[in-house]
Amino acid sequence: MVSTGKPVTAGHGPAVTGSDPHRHLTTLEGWRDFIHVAPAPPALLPGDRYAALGEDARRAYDDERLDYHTRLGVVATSTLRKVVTTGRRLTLLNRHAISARQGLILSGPAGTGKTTAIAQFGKTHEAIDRDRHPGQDRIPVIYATVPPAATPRMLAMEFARFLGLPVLPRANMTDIIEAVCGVAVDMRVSAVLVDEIHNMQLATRSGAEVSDTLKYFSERLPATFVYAGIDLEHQGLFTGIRGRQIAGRFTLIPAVAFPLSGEWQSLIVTLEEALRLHQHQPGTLAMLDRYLHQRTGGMIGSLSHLIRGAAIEAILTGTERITRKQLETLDIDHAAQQSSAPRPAARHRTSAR
Amino acid sequence: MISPAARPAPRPAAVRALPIRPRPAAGDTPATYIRRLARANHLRPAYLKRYLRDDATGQPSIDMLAALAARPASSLMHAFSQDAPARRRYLTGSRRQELFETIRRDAGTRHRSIRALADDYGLHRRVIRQALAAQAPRPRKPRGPSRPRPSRLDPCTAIIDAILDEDLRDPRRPARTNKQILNHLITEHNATGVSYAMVARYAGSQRSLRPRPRQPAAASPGAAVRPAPQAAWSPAHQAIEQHDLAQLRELLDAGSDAEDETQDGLTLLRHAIHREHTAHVERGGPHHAGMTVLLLARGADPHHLRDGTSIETEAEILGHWLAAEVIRAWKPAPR
Repeated sequence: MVSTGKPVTAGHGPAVTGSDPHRHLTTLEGWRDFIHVAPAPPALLPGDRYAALGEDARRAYDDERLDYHTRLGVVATSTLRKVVTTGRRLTLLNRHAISARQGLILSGPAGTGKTTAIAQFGKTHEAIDRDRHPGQDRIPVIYATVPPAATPRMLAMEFARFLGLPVLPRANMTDIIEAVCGVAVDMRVSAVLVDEIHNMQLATRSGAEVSDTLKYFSERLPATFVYAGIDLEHQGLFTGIRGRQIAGRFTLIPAVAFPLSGEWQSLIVTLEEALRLHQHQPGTLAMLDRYLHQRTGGMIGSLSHLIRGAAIEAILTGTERITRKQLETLDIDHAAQQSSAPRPAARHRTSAR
Repeated sequence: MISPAARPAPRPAAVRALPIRPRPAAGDTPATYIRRLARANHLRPAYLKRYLRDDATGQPSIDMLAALAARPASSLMHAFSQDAPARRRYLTGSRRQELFETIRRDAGTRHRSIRALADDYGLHRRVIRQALAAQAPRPRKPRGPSRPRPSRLDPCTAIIDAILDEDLRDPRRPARTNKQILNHLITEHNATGVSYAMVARYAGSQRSLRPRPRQPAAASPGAAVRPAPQAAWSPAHQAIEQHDLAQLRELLDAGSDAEDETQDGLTLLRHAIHREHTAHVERGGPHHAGMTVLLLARGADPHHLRDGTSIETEAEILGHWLAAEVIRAWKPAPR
């Protein structure tokens, strides 16, 4: 199943279309773009008509395809489906909870599609909310990332920045939190997605304070909280008093690298079918599943990056096909390159752009 | 993964729209609109004002405000200008007749539809139809006599009047301040829902009606709120102030005038009603009308007016219903 909209990139929120620097998943405008933009795959011209295209027409046509391949659709992995269904179930359960709402934590190595999964959950939730309340101005979902070396104030500012509340350098934290909570309650926020939660180190003082701030938000907002981060269970997120409280409140869904199995093959087939290349032999990539698994270490993010990179290369060079030889020339992220086995060196996340 | 440099600066140069954006209303000024925007977004108005301040002028920047409200600056300027359609005024008489003629002319020469005319003139289509049917404008629906809006201060006005009168009678004592009057109302009369501002506005207006002769103040302003029985008062008034029915009767028996009136028109009867009401308020018991009845029996005039207010009305205002009923029953009796 391929739905277009968001590229499967590792790392933080993928860039959304548009040149505006604020069009980012972590702003309301960017999030809404992500919710609403669903570009249709461009139609592939027949070979003779493609050959007959003039210089300018061909460039425009290729540009459109390049654009499409840079953000190939979301591949529905089993993790993604699980996150969406578990998240939805929790939001229903939490709808009438007065306090102690249950949350969801998505944990796993880099490049396993965590951000994609929680963003997709947010998209689903927002779509259902819009159906239930058509025509109302609501903000059902907040998406924020924990900044590196976060302090509670920085976290509160992230929430304020998502909502578009102006934050002066001198603003005190209480005011920011009050404004965020007030607006969030008024706008009926019912799901809060917090990404990069591994930036919150419970062992440090500021990390513990950030955790308390998140806890406070979860008490103030009648919403389901979904966290995502790298290897959280090994980072001490569930140890100590705060950790035990988190462990008691949250359902953990592990995001893991794919083993070389039927699902891996089906992912490759899905991605291959989404390609819009003229000379590509369908089934080439499916045949290369073992090679691709060895290259990417079973990471969906690396796989998507590799195939999209190859597709763009194919359009730019005019070969219009992806071959093993071409795949071998492409560089891939460090984590995947380090791993020859399915178990990757998880601590390193590299920018897979 | 996330490089700090990739993160936008805490305060981006470009202003983003606020999450909740009420529309500007006609008659808004930048200040009132900023206040409403801030309140809607749970921000402090001063905070938003500081955020919007243009360093060059010190005034809120309209461009930034427009970005915050996600509206074109021109529409904000229009709303803030005087041209914005303010509350529709009801034209009466010949001016309405003229308006109807203009509408008829417009419909004839410019071929405007009823709907368009209604939009143009800000009137209901029904009114446009009336105008086109060459009807004379209907006279305006009669409205009841305008009545001043009731105030929570109403039950207290008489007490304040009495205090002001007392102050006037004894110019050597410093006049009581609004604060003292308010405290008196709250502590002595259990007044609720009365604020300093209400007392100040009323007492101020009443003071201006009672010009106080300029005299050097003798004592400190912290004098007691409840006055000691005034030396200037006649014995009968003093007896009433002490709520002493037996003393009052003795004085009347001894020939005191039942129409004994102070300089500012406080008759014994009126004074008695105030005092009885005060006693009721202070003690919380039922109303007593002993002094009122005695004074009426001794020929006090129930039709006396002070500042155009009859004694009956004053009793009614004070809530001294018993006195009011007695006076009402008394009135038709021949004197």
